[in-house]
Amino acid sequence: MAPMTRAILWFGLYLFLIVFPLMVGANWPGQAAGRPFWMQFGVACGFVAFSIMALEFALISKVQSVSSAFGQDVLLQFHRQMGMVASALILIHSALMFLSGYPLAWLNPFDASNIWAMRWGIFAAMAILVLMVVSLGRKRLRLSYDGWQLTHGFLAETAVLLSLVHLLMFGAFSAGQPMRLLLGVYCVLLLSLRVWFVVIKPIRMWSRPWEVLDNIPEHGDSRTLVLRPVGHSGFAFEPGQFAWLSARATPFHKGWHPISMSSCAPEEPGQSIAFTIKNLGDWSGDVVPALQPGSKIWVDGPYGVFTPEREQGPGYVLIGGGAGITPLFSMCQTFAERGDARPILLFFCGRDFESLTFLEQFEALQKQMNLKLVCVLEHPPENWTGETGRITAEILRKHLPRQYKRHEYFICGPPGLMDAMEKALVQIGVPAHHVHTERFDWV
Amino acid sequence: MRHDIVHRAVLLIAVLVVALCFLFAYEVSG
Repeated sequence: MAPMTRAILWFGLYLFLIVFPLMVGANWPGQAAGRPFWMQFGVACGFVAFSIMALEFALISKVQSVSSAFGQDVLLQFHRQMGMVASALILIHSALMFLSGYPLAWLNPFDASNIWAMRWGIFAAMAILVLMVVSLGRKRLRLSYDGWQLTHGFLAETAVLLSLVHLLMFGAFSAGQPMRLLLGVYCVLLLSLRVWFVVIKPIRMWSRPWEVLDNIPEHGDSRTLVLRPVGHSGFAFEPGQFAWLSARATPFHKGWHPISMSSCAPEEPGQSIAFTIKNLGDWSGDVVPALQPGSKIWVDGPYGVFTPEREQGPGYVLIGGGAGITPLFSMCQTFAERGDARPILLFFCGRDFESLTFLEQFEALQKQMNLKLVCVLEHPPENWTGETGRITAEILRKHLPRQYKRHEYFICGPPGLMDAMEKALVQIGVPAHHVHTERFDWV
Repeated sequence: MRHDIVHRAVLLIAVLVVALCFLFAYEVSG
């Protein structure tokens, strides 16, 4: 099935699942029928918020069929934004229920007059509030990525479980058999997904370990890990894709990191694969440099739709900086390996020469393929005659070929660079559907 | 640009959900 068809089907199913409880509630309202309009509106918001929260797990479960239709980065962005929609609905739900006559004392879960159905709801709302603060303020709170993953997972599971208890104990719409049956089906689906993600998937990965062959320091405070599959054939991938890596003792541990492949995309699985990781602190700065040849590592992949394989064009323009150069390096090596003669223009942005990972390799590739390299340096050396500062629409215009509107554009780098390039390219007339980005800042 | 489409999809869902909540409340209220 074509990725677009699959995407439409998955999106349709998602929409149906989040609003289906409303259809069941409207058809079988039971003893809840006839209450004031705004109270019923508040209840509806609560039901939809619960469905959205339950489906949040599906979005991050790395199901290949879903992930390959949308791209994992898009799913993460959607997960994050739908989380905000669910939180807004919970806020509206709470406000309307209290405005419709619930005693304000119920806001205090420790008040003696409170009922348990309400207490669980308040605790669920508190868990969601903390989850939001921790997720949106992770960098300000200086919470490590691994610590955040653990906290986020625990709070999310607690919030959904408490919301379900709140919903069942209140028993207005949920007192009827149809709604109870529906909630039961949702719970079984959610539980199956969690068991698959937390137990079955790691068990399968346990029998497919990888081993570090080499750990090579690179320019730009980066390291390349060369990994080989042990006792299995690994996987083939498309240039530009990424995989989740974990160096923990078993694949059951949390602490997975999305890393782009930097080696040439192989035609067949079974070969060693290189991953290049920039030192951004915690895992990439502490764990990665200490990995010795022979160390065991877990690899879950490939993922991502940021690949020229799916976006064929007469030529390509690649714009990269920082860790974002890694997938672009894989693309260039693959073009060279395949003898692809289409023109590639690479804008390589960085602070100075030392910060440009793979610069020598790109220079060598220029002799093997139709590659033009344009370096844009913020702090160039004294005798530098190339582009300086940050990449702008003027710099793009100066170097782009005459037929640039027909080319495909791949941008990967710091969020500021991607935002600026998306705007600049549209500004100079590149059709938006020719511009492709990979954003790891949603993770 | 896939990320712009996500913004639009989320906005569309939010509007749809609010509309359906209204319909639901209209249908089951007294």
